[in-house]
Amino acid sequence: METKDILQNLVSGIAIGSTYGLIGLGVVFLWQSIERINFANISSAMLSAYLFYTFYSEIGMGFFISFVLSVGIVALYGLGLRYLIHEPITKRGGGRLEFVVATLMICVLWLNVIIVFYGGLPKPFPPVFGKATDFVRFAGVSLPVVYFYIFLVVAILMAFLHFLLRKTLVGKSLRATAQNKEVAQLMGVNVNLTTSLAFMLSTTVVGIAGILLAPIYFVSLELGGGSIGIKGFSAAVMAGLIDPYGAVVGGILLGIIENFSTLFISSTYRDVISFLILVAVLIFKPKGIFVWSLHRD
Amino acid sequence: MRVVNWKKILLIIALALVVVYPFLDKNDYRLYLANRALIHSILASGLVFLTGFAGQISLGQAGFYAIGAYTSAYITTRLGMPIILGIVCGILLSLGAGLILSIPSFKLKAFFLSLVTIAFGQIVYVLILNLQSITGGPYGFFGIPPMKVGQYYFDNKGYYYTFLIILVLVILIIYRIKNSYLGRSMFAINDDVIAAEVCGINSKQSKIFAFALSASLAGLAGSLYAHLAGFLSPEPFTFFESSNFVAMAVVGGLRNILGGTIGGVILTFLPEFLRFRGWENYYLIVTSLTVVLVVVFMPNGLGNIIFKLFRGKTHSHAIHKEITTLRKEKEGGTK
Amino acid sequence: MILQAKNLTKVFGGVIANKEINLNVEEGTVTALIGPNGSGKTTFINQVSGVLKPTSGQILFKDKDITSLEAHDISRIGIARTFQKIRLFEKLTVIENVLVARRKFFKCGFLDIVFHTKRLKNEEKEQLDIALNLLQRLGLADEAWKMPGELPYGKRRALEIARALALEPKLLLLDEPAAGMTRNEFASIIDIIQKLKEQGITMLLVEHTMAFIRETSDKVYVLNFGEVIAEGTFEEMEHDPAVVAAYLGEESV
Repeated sequence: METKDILQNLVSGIAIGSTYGLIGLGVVFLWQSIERINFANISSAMLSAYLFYTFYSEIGMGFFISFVLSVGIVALYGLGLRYLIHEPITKRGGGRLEFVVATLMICVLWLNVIIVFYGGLPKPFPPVFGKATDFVRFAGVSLPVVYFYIFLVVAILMAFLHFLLRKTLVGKSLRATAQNKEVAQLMGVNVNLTTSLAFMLSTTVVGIAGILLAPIYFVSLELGGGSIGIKGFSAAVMAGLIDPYGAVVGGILLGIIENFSTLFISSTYRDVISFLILVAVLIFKPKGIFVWSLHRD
Repeated sequence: MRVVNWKKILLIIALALVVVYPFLDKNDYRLYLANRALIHSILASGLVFLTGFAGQISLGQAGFYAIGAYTSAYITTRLGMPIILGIVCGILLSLGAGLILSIPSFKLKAFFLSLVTIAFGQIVYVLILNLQSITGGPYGFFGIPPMKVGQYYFDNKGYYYTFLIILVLVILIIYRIKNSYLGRSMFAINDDVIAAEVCGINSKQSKIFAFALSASLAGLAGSLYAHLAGFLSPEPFTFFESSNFVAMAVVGGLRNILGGTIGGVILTFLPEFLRFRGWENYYLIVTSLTVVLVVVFMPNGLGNIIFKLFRGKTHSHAIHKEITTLRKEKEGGTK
Repeated sequence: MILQAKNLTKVFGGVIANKEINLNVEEGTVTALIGPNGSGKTTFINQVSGVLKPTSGQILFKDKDITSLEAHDISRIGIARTFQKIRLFEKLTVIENVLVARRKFFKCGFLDIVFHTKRLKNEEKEQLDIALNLLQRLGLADEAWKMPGELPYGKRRALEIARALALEPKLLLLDEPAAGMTRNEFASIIDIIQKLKEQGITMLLVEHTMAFIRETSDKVYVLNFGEVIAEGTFEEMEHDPAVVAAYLGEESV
């Protein structure tokens, strides 16, 4: 194998992996806030991709407005999940199990909605991130342009999230709540607000990931399926479910491993690799691998 | 004066209807659906046991279902063995997979386990697609022999009674486990693991047992399905089928011995019923929306509502019949 | 010696909860473990009952090393316990709470259950009788078919003790049995403990109430910051300057 191939796989692994990281980030935000895994958030990626497709390709709005609208609607979806699902279940004394089942069924519901309104066949994603034939070439390596858009968007998003979490009052409240809800409440943090924010942030990042993944996976049901969800969970679990930066690093690592396993083993078993990583981490390192920022014993 | 017990009469009529149903309904497709419903009920009963009684969760039940189906199909079709052997092997292989999968449950809390079980289901699905020499991959597995007794090849009626008897036996066994010290231990673990351990209950063993039982039942359901359908393709073994199975258990009622059956029947017939009532575009949406509403607003499932109608009030799920009869004897004796 | 702890140490992420504790419990006696809040008493009980694994050190029960045994094995060989914050099976009836702890006495197997054999029925009947007797002994006979949530606090405590006794233990660990009790309940708990002692059950108890310890205990260990700072009879401890200092130190905080 030549250096060229290694480089090529590395770059595409990092690009796709960083979107897995975003999905993992969605898991982490919610876990920090309410210690729940929200399966309905798997749909966020699919929903935003179909919304973008509708606004941009079918209605003909501009790129920026389509992007903002689809991500905004997905953020509201997060808020809806809190008030229509999480709160009623908690009020009735329901626990994790009920939340898991309810959100899972919402995941199935959305798939059925998409099938009814858009059909089961994938839609082409508009070439807003360059055409499939657009390549960047340097040093004998040619890489699809879309990867660089992914890098760009993820970098901007991470910078924004870093600023939000570290420098703003809202972010500090979020982190305080994540560490200890009671103490945060005593310190005057509005836990109600941070919970809503966590729900919205978690669907938003997954929604953005959906739009970034659409050029690769097409606008398809696959974006709302178990395999995308599992990749996000794997990334989040590597971060011990609590470290936002760890989730992104975990996602990137997963992307790289996946790409190289395609190269060495077979592309058909690509998904199996991420499942095995998830299972292995859960069994051998249940506290995660990339955990830096928050809790320390 | 004798008071007519309408509830009892209704119950007897309902049971009689279940027994003579194949002779009342001439529609062969509906009878086929009824058979599917019975298979789903067997599987969902296992999930009720696993989730409602033992407090574990599995979102990969379609994986066991697939293992049962393809094992029985392979053994009977390719190796030419008798069907009963195929079914037994299907159960045993699912049981083995269930035992392996129960290992993570020692260390993992329920919701982490759900992630592992999703991964398991997906791995099985990918294997079905890719191990074409065994499973036929996306092209399917053809020519699975139907069940027969002597020279009589089963039609839908034959399957109906076979599956009905199997389902009744399954429910009876689960009922007996529930009412024994095993069931008691399981409820105790579900309530408070540490307190149960301190009472001498091996929580690991109980978890393995619950997992193994539910996996075997899914394997059984799968192998029955293989012979009923005569043809296997990967579609019924996806993550969404696993979710559907969980939905059956929850809609029927996780604390209810008949929850799996009620959920299995409702969620097999509801979509088809809607489809033929002019809802052909929206039946899947309506079905999943119904499930969401039931989960959010009726935590105990539809089964409990039906039970309430018959009993007037609900008992603690764990008051054992055995103990209550003994109690009556004792109280009668002291009077 | 029925129970011996040798250099038992438990560290929670840098905090030493138990530091090289050496403690002996003689058969047939009642030993008390006292000390200010956070001095590591419950941690000690948790280790003996197998709920927590020690960081280092050894626990011997009847001269057998049980340090690495799991909680269910430890309870099966004869150590039962209650919890500081009562932990009952709230979804099971009172009698079932006791029956859960009779699990180890069932000899029937899975097939007996599937075929619902005579043997199983007899065994269930036998165990039910034993459980009922036990409830009677602790004054809970009338509540046997209620849910634990319907019982007043003192009876909940008694039920937890009944459940522990259902294991037929040689050693009973009681974590603050008198906590939160009214005066009447308090007296009845002391009564229960004295009766158990007459029946030859060895007890190790954690308690705050001095009156309780004076009434019940043969020997007292005093813990402070995870270490044993004194041991002896209750009268000796009452006047031990180190003990007095530990308690005064706590109060002045």
